[in-house]
Amino acid sequence: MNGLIRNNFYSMESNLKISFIMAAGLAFSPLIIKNAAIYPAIIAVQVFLFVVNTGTALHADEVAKWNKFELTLPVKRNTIIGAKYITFAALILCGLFTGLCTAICISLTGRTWNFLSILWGYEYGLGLSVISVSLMYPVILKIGTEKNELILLLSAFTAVGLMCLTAAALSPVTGEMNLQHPLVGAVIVSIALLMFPVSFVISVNIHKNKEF
Amino acid sequence: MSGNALTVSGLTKKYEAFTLSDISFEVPKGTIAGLIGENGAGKSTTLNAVLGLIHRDKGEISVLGSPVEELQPEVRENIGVVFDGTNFSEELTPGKLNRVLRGIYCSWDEEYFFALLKKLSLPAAKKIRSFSKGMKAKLSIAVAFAHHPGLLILDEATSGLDPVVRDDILDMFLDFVQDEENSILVSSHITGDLEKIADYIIFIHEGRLIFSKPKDELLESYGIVKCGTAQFEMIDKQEIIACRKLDYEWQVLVADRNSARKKYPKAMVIPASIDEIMLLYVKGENQ
Repeated sequence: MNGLIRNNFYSMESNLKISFIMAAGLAFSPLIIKNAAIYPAIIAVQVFLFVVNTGTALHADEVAKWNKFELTLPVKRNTIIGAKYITFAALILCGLFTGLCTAICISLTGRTWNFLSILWGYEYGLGLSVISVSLMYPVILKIGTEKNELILLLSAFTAVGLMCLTAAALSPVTGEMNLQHPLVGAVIVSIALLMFPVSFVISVNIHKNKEF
Repeated sequence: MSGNALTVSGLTKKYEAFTLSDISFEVPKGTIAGLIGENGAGKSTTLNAVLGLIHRDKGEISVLGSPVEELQPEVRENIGVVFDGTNFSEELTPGKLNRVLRGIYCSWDEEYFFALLKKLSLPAAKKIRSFSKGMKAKLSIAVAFAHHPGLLILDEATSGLDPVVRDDILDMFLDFVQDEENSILVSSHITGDLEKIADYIIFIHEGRLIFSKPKDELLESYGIVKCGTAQFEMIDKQEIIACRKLDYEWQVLVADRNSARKKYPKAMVIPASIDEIMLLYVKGENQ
């Protein structure tokens, strides 16, 4: 499986470099941005920044017909899909790591910051990334990668919609529709983490019935 | 030689505008089988079905003794595949591709892969994006060989190669089957290549199997009778496989050219090449 994961990363190598540069730039942005209310958004963007590459990489693999070739390799279809999801998870971890750099940078500035609001940035970024990728990959697998940017955009909008819906559903408990409430963040992350394996199972089923 | 590397029996696959119907052939171990046919005849569909990439409507396929629907990674390890064009991310270099594939194939032979790159004059550090069509084809062939498979399945593997490199590759294919255990199924438009290396010719036309015969039988027995209309009328229609009216003559494909020479001494009977056999089937009238 490690060969498949390696291939996934090689396919998006040039895009990843850009993501790293952007994430690194954002990590140091607290040095010049003094408004602490923006920090959670910076972290959320950083977490999401890496998974946006997946659509392009999947498209490159489809154009090169690697998708077809990898079916002739000595691996099972579950393994092929598993390698994709491990890659997605690794990309999200990269995002979380750069978010951590931002948090360290904020603390180095000596400015006062709210732990809960930073945590919300992580939760929002994680929820957005995991839900988006969980929705995007099965759809791309089903209809092809030609409209990958649009699918990613729609997946991200759906993820935001789901988060708002969660906040609305929890409003009797949280008192109002509050996206930044810790309970809402925890539920969003839980939903995202539940969607990820469900998305994997759906993708495996789509892949098994797909003809290349 | 023992048994078949590949057995296809009654393979049928229906698409909206095309049907591959009732294709049956075998590739005995230690042999090279050449799959021929015009564009859209069903060669790639057949190869895709053999590799289990498409679901078939009917028929049985056995690859290296296993039903294709149950091909385990251990069996796939023993199959080398080349598709038309490249199949690797253009962002990769052959060196990176080596790192990818050594993590997938247990039998990946890194040293052999780099030796093949050298032999085929492929740079290990250049991105595949910058490769010509021929270089990409050579890279695919190097990959197919580098894990020491027992069966090679090649779809237009030699297209895009110059005659010199093509000749070297054909020699590699011939060396590959020398031990009489390794086998190749190769589809190609370049029938001259198949005349050089194939033991069997499988001809598919409009989704139907026209024949699957030993190449020597085709080249040693089949013939083309070239004659005028009067002589054409005299030819026993039972003997005509396919015929074609040109401006000044009839060309008639017969299965036994020696017999035709004796029966029609006034007609010119010449040996038929694979190309001519295919042309007469495709462009002529079949009896």
